[in-house]
Amino acid sequence: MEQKEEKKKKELIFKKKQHIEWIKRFLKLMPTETQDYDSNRMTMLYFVVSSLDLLGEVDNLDKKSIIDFVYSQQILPDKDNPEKYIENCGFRGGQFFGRDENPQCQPTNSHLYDHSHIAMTYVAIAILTILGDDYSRLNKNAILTALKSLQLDDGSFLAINGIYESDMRYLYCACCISKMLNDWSGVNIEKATKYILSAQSYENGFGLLPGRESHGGSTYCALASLSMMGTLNQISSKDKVIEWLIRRQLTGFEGRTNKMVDTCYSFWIGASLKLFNVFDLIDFEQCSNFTLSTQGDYGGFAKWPDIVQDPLHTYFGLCGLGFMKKFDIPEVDPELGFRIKK
Amino acid sequence: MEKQEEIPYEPLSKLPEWKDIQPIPQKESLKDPCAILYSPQFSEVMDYFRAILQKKEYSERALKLTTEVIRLNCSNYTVWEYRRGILEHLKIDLNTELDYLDKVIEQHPKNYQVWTHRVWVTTKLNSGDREKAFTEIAFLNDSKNYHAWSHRFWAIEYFNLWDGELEFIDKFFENDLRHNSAWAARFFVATQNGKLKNDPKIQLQEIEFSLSKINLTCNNESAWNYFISFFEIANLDQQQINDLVSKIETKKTRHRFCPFPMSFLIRVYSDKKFGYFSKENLEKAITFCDALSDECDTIRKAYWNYKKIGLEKILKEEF
Repeated sequence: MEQKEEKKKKELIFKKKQHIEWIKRFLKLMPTETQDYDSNRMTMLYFVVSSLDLLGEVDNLDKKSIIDFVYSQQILPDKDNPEKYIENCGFRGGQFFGRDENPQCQPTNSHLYDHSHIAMTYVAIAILTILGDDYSRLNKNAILTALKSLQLDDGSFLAINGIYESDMRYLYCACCISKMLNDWSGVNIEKATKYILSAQSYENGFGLLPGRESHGGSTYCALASLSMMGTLNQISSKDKVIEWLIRRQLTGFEGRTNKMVDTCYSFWIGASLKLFNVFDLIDFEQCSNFTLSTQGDYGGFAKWPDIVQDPLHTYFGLCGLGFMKKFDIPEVDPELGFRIKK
Repeated sequence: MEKQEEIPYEPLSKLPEWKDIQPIPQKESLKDPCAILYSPQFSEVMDYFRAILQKKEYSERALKLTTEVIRLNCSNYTVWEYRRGILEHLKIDLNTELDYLDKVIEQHPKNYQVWTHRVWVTTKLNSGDREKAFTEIAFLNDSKNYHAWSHRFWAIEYFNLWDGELEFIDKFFENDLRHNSAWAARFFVATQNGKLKNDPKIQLQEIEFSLSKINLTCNNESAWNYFISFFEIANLDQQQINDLVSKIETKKTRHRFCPFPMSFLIRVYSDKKFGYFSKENLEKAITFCDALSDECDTIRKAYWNYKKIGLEKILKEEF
């Protein structure tokens, strides 16, 4: 009994030093098991950099080499024919296409299959923002032109130019890009808003697509997008959305009705409640204790207790704790998902 | 981060088929952030992939190589785009592509790219004949797989496969009345993706259905959410409303620790449109907030207190 109590107490300690070391390891070299992240490496880098920012370590990083790597992934207009494949512009997720490193963003030739991915464009610009870059090497025009071409008639966004999926996640990315660049010329706000409202389900949360089950991740993307577009007040059932969100708390949060708790929803649901200014209505202690119970001995957070930690859950675990003002972790911006320096 | 199965690997550089290709290595140093320690096989396959991708080769061997790249990293969105290009140029029979996808999705049921590709293939084939049976197999592994349900919804709507679907969904309820994906599917099918939401016959049928499940298990948010959504949109006359509300009031007495009857009644008592808006009922709703916050739903203590303050404000303003 005593041993059990002792163990529980130990679990509730926030292992800051271990987290820092654990995350930094990913920055240096990622193990072979992560090679299926090859094409999404930018998202990994985002989780790592933004986590270290929340842990107060970002100024100890070699910012220049990170920024150079990010800019190397920018897909630029064709140097001879700027219109050719302009819709491919933005960022790719890593070096896998085989281009030379191009941190200074020198003009290049475009290629049909060297295309950006809207989520990579979002996290790439987010990393630059966190590191205090001045966007001087960003080709804003090309990014916004490409963005515009990704919006479909129903208001949703494709991830890449081509035959590909469109859903709430990509609409959210489009809004983040527009907000960071402070230019909404790439988004038809009226259509986008209509699309989001059409995806509100009978449970009052939002599905990833219209007609689909309410889900914490897509509900966050829906609400944050509306908030960034200034159309959050077009939701007619705000109180009911709040009740659906609040009901997701079991100890930590679940993502769907009658599912299991998962560390990352303390961000998705938490940020959604923040957008409505009702975050304080949750039970902080239970949420914090659940998140801490998924900590690894050597740092990092996992989806559940006693399974392997990963950068995504580590990052969103930190964000959730930050919302509750725990352990001096600063709060992330509930719309953009990372910390904005005042 | 998935462990890949070990498959005996013959280096491409040893195969005559690839002799004419000059592989293109990934141009970066291990000093770059989040560099990956690639396996030798991963590196070699990608080096050849880069070479044929850059020259846009549409060939049988290119198709084979995309299969290899997908096996090593099925999240690579570029390889799928390129593969579609190859399939189109070579006019490959897409039924074989569907056979291939059956296997890939079985291995990676939660990957976005594989399901997207399946939509593309089935759209091109203009046949959804295999989709119901295929998603059924995916449900054996995870009956709440969001991708599989989403794909099934898409196929049902696109190929008009509504027949027999309600019966199919019923099987999930036999095992688990709290199966929220099945409830969401029920809504999708019963209303034909919202089109029949305002049909009074459907509304009454679904109110009845959800109430019958609540009668079996009161503490089930899925059934309550479903019931409340139809209760609110249905054009019920006052007698029908009264019958339903009185049933829930009885339930409230019988299951006094269950939070759902009370939270339903709070809604009904405090909204003018149901005909229960009175001083007495508002006061009752306030006591329900207390019961929820102190006894029945304590994790949402702060929320029920917040609701209570809202109700007290209405009480003060209106009476």
